[in-house]
Amino acid sequence: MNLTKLNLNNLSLGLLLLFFTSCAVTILAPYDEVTDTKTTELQETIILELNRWNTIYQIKPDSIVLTYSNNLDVYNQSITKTELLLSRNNGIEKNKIVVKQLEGLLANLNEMKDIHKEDNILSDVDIAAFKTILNVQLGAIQKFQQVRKETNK
Amino acid sequence: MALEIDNLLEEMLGIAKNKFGDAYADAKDFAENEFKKLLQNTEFLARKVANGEMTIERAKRYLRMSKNAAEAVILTVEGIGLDAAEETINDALDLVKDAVNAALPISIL
Repeated sequence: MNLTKLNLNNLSLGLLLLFFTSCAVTILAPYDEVTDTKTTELQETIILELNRWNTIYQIKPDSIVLTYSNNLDVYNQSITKTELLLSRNNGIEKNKIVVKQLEGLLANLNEMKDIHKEDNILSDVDIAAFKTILNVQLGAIQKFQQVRKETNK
Repeated sequence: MALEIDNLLEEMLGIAKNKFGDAYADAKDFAENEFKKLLQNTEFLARKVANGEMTIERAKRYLRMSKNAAEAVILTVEGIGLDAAEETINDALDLVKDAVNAALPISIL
């Protein structure tokens, strides 16, 4: 094998390595345990509250326990947790999908807060609608993380 | 008059097929399920407004929330870009807008 042939082989190998290295660029951010855990906690908190409101509503629809001011903490805590998660995910590369999912969640939590503020007490129809919508959204965020977890194995 | 959901779904899935490209096979079931829920929600909300149980502004807020939820689901399918998910939902609803508004007691889309 002459020197020119060896150099060409090395060059080809180098180019191949470069090709495969560029193919290995991650398209999506890897699994994030914090996002997975925190969205699960958020779902538990919100759904628990919505169930509690519904139970009280069925017994006493005008109960003071259901008023906006008595539940402001639920919104503020959920919104702050989502904002923190959004901030964390904004700092992760190749993570626009999760950021978009969290932005949608934040928008819906704010809509829910505004509706509660306008009505002062949510009806059972409102509570059921919010429960369905938020379960779908939070479930989708967790599903996406689970798929990332499986893919990264 | 009730919505002819199956026919509308077919039209909406046509949009998804174009937008999603190779990812359509994986996304079809998700898109179909989410579109169906959006149509059912639209019909439910339009009837609430028509019966005087809800304002049109409130109904549109609920629809916006439902669209956010549908988008979150569609984004879970790998290979679907951010813009494609959002555009597909908007374009699919746009496509059936006239038929939906005509079939329901109130123009909601």
